[in-house]
Amino acid sequence: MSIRRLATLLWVAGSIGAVQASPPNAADIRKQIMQQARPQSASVAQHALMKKRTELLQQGEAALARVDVDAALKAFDQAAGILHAADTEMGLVRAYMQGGEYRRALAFVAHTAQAHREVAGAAALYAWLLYSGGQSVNAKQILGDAASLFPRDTLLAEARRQLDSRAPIATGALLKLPARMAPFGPMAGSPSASRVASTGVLIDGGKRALIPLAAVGKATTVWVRDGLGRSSRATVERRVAASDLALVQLDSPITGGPDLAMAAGDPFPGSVAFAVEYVTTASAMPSWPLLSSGFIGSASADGARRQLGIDLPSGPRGGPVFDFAGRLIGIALASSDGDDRLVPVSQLRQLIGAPLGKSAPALLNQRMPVDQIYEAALRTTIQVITAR
Amino acid sequence: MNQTSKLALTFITASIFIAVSACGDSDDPAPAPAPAPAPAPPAAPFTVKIIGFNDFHGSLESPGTFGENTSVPVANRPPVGGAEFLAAHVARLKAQNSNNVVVGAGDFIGASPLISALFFDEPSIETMNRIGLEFNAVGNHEFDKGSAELLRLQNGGCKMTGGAQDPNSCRGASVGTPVPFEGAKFKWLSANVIATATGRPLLPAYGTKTFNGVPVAFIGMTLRATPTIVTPSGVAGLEFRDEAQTVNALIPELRAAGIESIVVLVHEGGFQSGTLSDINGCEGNLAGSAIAGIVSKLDNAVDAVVSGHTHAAYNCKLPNAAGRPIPVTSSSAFGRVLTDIDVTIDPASKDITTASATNRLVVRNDPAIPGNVAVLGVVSGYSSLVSPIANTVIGSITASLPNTASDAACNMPAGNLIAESQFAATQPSGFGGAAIAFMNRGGVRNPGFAFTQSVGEGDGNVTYGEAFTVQPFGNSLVTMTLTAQDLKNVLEQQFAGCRGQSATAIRIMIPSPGFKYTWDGSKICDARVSNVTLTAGATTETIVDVAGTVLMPTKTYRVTVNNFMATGGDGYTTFLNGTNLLGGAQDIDALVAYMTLFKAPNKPYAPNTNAADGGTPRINRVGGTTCPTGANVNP
Repeated sequence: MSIRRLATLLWVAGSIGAVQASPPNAADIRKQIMQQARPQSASVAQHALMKKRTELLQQGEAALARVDVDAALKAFDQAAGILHAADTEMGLVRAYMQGGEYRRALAFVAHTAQAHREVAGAAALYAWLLYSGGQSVNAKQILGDAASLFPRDTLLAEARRQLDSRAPIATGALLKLPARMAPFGPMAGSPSASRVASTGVLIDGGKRALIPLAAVGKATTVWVRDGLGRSSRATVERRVAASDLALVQLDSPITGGPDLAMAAGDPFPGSVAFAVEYVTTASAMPSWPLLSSGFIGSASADGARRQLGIDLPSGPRGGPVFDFAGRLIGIALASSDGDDRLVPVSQLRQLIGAPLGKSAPALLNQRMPVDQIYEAALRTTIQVITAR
Repeated sequence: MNQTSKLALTFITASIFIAVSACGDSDDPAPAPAPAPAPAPPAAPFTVKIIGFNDFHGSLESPGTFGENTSVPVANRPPVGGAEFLAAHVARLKAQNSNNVVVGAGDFIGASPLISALFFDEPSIETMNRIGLEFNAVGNHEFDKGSAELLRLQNGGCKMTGGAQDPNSCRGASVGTPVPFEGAKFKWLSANVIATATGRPLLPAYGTKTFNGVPVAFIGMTLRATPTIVTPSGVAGLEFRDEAQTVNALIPELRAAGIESIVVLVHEGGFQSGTLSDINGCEGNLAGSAIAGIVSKLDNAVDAVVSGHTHAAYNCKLPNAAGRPIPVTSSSAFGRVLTDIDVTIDPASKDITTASATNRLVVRNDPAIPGNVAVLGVVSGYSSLVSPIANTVIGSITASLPNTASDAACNMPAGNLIAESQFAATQPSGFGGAAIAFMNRGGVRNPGFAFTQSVGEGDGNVTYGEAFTVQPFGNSLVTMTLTAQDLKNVLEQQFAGCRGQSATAIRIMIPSPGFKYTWDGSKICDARVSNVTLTAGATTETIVDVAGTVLMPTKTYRVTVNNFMATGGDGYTTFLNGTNLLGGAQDIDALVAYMTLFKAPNKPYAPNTNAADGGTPRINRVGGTTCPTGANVNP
């Protein structure tokens, strides 16, 4: 029995209302599959199972929408036990992401995209996650391969358009299930008219955050939300003009993540670095942050002022910058002269003090895989949301 | 089983004898079945452990957590999988019984994560070789890239793209595996995949392994419906035949060869009914599934079926054509579960008499089963290669800069560039205030900086990955204060047998721009170095004159070396005299930072054009024809 083809047919039948491209010759395949895959003696039981599967997928999506990852995983796992299908797998992928398991999600969506080539959304979701984690070249390759199979697919075209913009935003078709290219992130009590103004860094065990002063303006409160869709209102505790940053305190700490590892010293020019930033938007939609890689730029002779050296799309910045071992080496900020600069960890320590946390031990040459750095950053990199 | 219908043969002698072969009339130049050396099996029945898994899909890294069934709370599910732990669990099971075999039911490659897919799944093959996989059915995903590519992965060699070796193939040099790609040490089996041009199986139909003189056959197949789920180009020229008919047709051939123990590895499967999906369950007996249909038609000679494809786990006993229940297993997917099958073989009948299967989680949190370090090394190597930073261009060069001597004085183009970068990184006052930098030539690794592109970056461009290959040690820079006498001494210390240097090693350092000296191999220790000068801007200072005299022995200079040299490495113990040490960037960071000066739109780096050198070499020599490397100081 061709389980995968059956899944495709169920998919095209609109089991959970997704926007997808129809596979080629779907009618013929449907006839063939129905003949091969459903012995008459088992058809009734099979139908009941498929109905159950649809219910489980709906349960999973509903759980995800309320950010109940465990319930979502349970429902999707049970659905996966009924049929090897792309819609279930994409649900699992997004549940892994919602739970902060980027590496697991990426590995699984890689499988989904290649094992279910008839589902264009799987390739789009794979490409989006690759791009988010810094693999832009490979992401575009995946999209290109998929587009060669589905040259008129609107989902693929929109995903490509967004990735080419270097500041991709998932809207419209890109938010449709099951290939939704963003987390869920409800924010009860947030301003009705708000926007993602910048990126910030969660510190002090999730109780505080550092955000760009430019994003705060004169406001005394903002909202913050991490890559897992967890959010809180935050009150400005201190404005640190010397570094153009504000220290805010969260009303409801976002906990559960690993402690942010701090580098013991400042990075040297030329050292590998990874910057993580959210795309700023005119609305307060949740999204996954984007990782960019590069090399720390030049420093003044006394080492006090440093260029970021990582090419980022335009924006106010505010996100964390990590070294090759995944330790925080500073915060990226936009400069008035147009060159992004790094507020190095030594300066942060001097200005912020204890809430910044302790330095991680120096682990010479112990390089952390980029996907692992991004996975950790999902929990420490926050959207800064302000009223419009 | 079905002992009464099988031949009962007797042999003489032998304790434990295990031979492996693959056969079945394929196009693959597989060896013929190993000739039985006529050993006699022991009188008593013995057990063989069959370790099986399926649908690995290139999961070199952990696919996350997994429970024995869906009722296990998410928080209680252990982390599982990852090639290094798969290797460890397989090794542990093998250690329980020396009569063992590791088998797969297909889809070990294809639909794989970037860490494997980017390198044409060569990483998956290499790790499976080290895990000890022996026989593997082909699955539908083995045909994703076509039969020719599958044969390359079986037989080894590099992937060619557009007539040239693909830059993402044969990367073993960076991960510690052989180059060219070694190919699969296990045998892919494809009994029901027929090359239409020859009418024979594309790959061997079955493989055999002999235990205590008793051969066991493993027939490998993929699902007949493979052409409906693989792109047409992937299965062009191939015919996929009925699974059960294929097996049944092979039974006479196997029996004629004296084989009674027969295991089928098939890439086809089913699902349990319900939603519990216990890895050792068989809820609903896979009713209505493709695998149940296949098993129901299998000849009674088949003793067990290791299946896959659906990514479901189950541990069943399903009726064959004779109505006899035989084990039918599947171990989920992605290396999360292993199937542990103990079969008992009667040496008299040569047949499997009993079989007991257990699906076991490949947990990562059992202190008694640490991950396999060698396999982890391969995975980590590919993890580095897949980093988006690896192929980033850091700058450009006008010509190759080899790590070999360019003249008899021992100047080295690659070393010149590195010494320049280290000087540049530590020259600012806040970073050391260096006036001179020295690079040890042993720290400049093969092949130096090549002009020819390696990963499609364009000729002349240098990627971070290439730079890292030249400077892989992660040394940090140390800037110290040395006297002029120290400088003279450390230069004299470069020569074999001088100032404690090895009697068989000559280690000529590469200095930074503007630092020049002359050496004469015909002279004795401490008399070889002369005419040491340092040019900074328009000023040239003589540190040691042409007669070898240090003009101001106590004058101090800030000197940068790497931390290996700073601690006396390569015999440069003079650097231990350094004072006011300041640690700095890693050597690779310094190189990257320096190369940004030569990144487009800037002009590329051109060797021997540094203004401070004034167009002449930094190292000069009196006499000699060849840069020495051993005990002979003056070749």
